[in-house]
Amino acid sequence: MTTAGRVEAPIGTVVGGLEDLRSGIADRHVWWGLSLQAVRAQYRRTYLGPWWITLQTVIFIAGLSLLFGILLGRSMDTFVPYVAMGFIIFTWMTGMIQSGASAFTGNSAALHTTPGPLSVYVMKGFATNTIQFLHDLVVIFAVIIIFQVELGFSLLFFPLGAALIIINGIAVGLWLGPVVARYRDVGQFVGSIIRVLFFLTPIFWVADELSSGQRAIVAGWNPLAYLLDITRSPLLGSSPSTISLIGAGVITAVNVVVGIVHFSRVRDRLAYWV
Amino acid sequence: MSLETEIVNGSAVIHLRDVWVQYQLRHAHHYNLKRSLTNALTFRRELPEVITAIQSCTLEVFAGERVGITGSNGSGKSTLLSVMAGVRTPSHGQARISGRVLALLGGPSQGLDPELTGRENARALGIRLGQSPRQMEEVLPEIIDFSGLGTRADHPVYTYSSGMQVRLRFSTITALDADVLVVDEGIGAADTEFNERAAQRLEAFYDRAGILVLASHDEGILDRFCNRHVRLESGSIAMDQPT
Repeated sequence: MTTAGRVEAPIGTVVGGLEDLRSGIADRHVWWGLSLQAVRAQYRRTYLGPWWITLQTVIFIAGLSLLFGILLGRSMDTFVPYVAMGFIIFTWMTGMIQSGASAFTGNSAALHTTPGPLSVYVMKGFATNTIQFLHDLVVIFAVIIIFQVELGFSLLFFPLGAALIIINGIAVGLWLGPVVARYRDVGQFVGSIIRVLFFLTPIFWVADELSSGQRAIVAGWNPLAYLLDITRSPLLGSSPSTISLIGAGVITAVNVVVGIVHFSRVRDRLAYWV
Repeated sequence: MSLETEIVNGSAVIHLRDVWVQYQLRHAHHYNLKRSLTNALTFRRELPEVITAIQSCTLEVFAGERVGITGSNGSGKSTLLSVMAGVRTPSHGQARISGRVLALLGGPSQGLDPELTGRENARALGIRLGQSPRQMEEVLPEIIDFSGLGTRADHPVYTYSSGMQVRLRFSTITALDADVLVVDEGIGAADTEFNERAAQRLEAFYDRAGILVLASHDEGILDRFCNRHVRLESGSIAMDQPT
């Protein structure tokens, strides 16, 4: 099952899965168009349209900073940028996990009627969340200016972090999407675990302030914490830790291999599961 | 599970050899937690029901053929069409489709966004089927013209009747370059005047040596559009003859 008239790919093999992924990524008009439509559909008949994404982020960050800033006795000058960058990157990452989980179940109508590579639906999830992230980028710029965050050469780590987040987001969709299509209970589980992850990821608390034992329990096992550190630190003028870089590298490698292998194995059965 | 489905380049050919489509159907009780646990404790297994939608279909369609597929409800028409469109992989057997396939599957509103206008939907549909935005801008006036929607083309699709939705989808899909066109039902919902023009358009397609596969209950439509008649009965080919 491949793109009509353009590619030829054997079923159930990694070659077939990679070919699907290659032509899926190449069909950028398809997933870009689908994701633009999805974002517009969400804010249809509102005056602000997709700028609600930006406004919702501002409202949430303001509330969170105010509450925990006072509760934890933080200085707003540093706490607001920390919370803002953390929350925006966390939203981007978990958004991609959720889109990945529903990549096939959420697009069943298109999947049943349109011939073509199936990885397009994973790419659509990546694109949708990245469009939302781009709206949030406005908030990042505003926070940097208003709170006079001093950026340095460490900013060069930001593209690396963003690239890792994107690669992992796509890889998660490739394995989690089919798992959810086959076992729907997993989809419910993912939704609830993401809510807990919000508290277990250093967004409004600082991992460095914990003892090493506490940190191992709370954030050590959490893949999002590593990716968050690499992407957020550069936006706050500091460099990510070496542990984060190693951790993120390992996580990405495992994720990509699992994603490609699982997707390749079950690709031809997906149409029967959704 | 399956052998292979291939869509290869070259002149248009559909080649199905001993194609079976079977899938497992899990009923609500298969998801019943109490029952599943009891079964596990008593070493009892409840296998999902296996549905055979298509059995042992062998069919070759060559460039220039217009195949009409008939059969009662549930005889496997839509499933066979989805195999021919490359959307579904056979669970057994071989399906080869060469050439660029475009498919009009599902109900009249399938693939249309009700909030977008007809014009926007035509553009989005074309892009989803592999056209570039620029290519779509070029063919868009012709699509709208052929659909006969006129000023309604700029109204949101939720204001459309099913006939108008069919016209929009049909006009879009037939305006694009395809070697194989797979159309499931639907055409019947448009009015006689449109069907007449649709028939002419499909004839032009046939002259370009494409393959048309059309499923319908309406014998009149099949007589008008097709030169080969395949009838399905419980998932098997019961009749295959020229008309």
